[in-house]
Amino acid sequence: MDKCFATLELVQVSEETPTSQTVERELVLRAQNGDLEAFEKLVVKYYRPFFSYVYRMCADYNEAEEIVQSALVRAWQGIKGFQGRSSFKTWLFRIGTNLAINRAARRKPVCEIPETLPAPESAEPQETYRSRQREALVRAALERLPADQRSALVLCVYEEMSYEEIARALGKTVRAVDSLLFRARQNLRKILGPARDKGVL
Amino acid sequence: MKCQKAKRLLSRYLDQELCGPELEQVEKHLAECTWCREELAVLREYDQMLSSALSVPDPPTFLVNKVMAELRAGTRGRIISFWQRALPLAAGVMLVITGAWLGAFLGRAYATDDRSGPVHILTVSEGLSLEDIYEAIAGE
Repeated sequence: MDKCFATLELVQVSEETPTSQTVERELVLRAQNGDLEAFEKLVVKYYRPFFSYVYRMCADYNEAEEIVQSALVRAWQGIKGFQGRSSFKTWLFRIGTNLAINRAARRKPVCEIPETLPAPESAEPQETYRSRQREALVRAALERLPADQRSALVLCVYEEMSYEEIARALGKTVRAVDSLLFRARQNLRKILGPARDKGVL
Repeated sequence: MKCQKAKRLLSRYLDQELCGPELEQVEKHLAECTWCREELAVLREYDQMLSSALSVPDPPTFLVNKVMAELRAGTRGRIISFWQRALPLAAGVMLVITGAWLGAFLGRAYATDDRSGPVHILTVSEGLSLEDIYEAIAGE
């Protein structure tokens, strides 16, 4: 199993071209020497997917904004410690993951999954109502997952990261990521199963 | 390969994280086992539901500019090198150790000529015992 993961690591080095990797390495080096413009270019490149990831982790716009803001400041503070063993994106996502998981630990326990939403607004098309209902259920289900399972699943499904990249983003082993994803999917099924069986999803 | 083992590997198979003999065994099993094929289909369905059901609002447009403005103004986020973190901490530790050592080594109190103060503390160097000092303080 370890050999297989090692082989995958060689194949899945990066989705980027060699040129863009070189450009990014150059920007990181400049940022490490105190070049804020270089740091800004890095941030702008990953800002949208990073915000999306954090938002999916905490499901609250204001909280996502605060976490992203803190993460960017921490990234600048710690840029000299970035050793390039992972991509800058993975490293940034790791900072965001740690902040989001800490926040999740302080949050109140999530309430039960609502089986139905309030009745549709009067002029709302049926399909729009069903979309809102699906979104509310999926969001609540994700919130019910333990934070580490949620982050692994979000990085896998939405960011399409490899297990190796997820492992680096979460500070875990590839084996642990495999276990997290297996359990996350099982739990999601348990949580959403009743709604799915009723045809709500 | 038995269903129990195949089921455990379906998550990795879905994510294209299997290779070599394991991949071959799972594919062979899926070709022969209806139940495991249905399990895989359900896994795919939940993944698709996740990716299609959850919308994400646009991130705030001002946030990067705001953070960069603060970093440029130096109001926060100064790059802190290892030594900038380590030296103050080391200095603090040294102060505490030195203070504790001085307190333990000296073990003395200092006389004050001003007897109008609320507490009179007498030096050990004057040959007074602790009991004498306590009595002197209690007597006031």
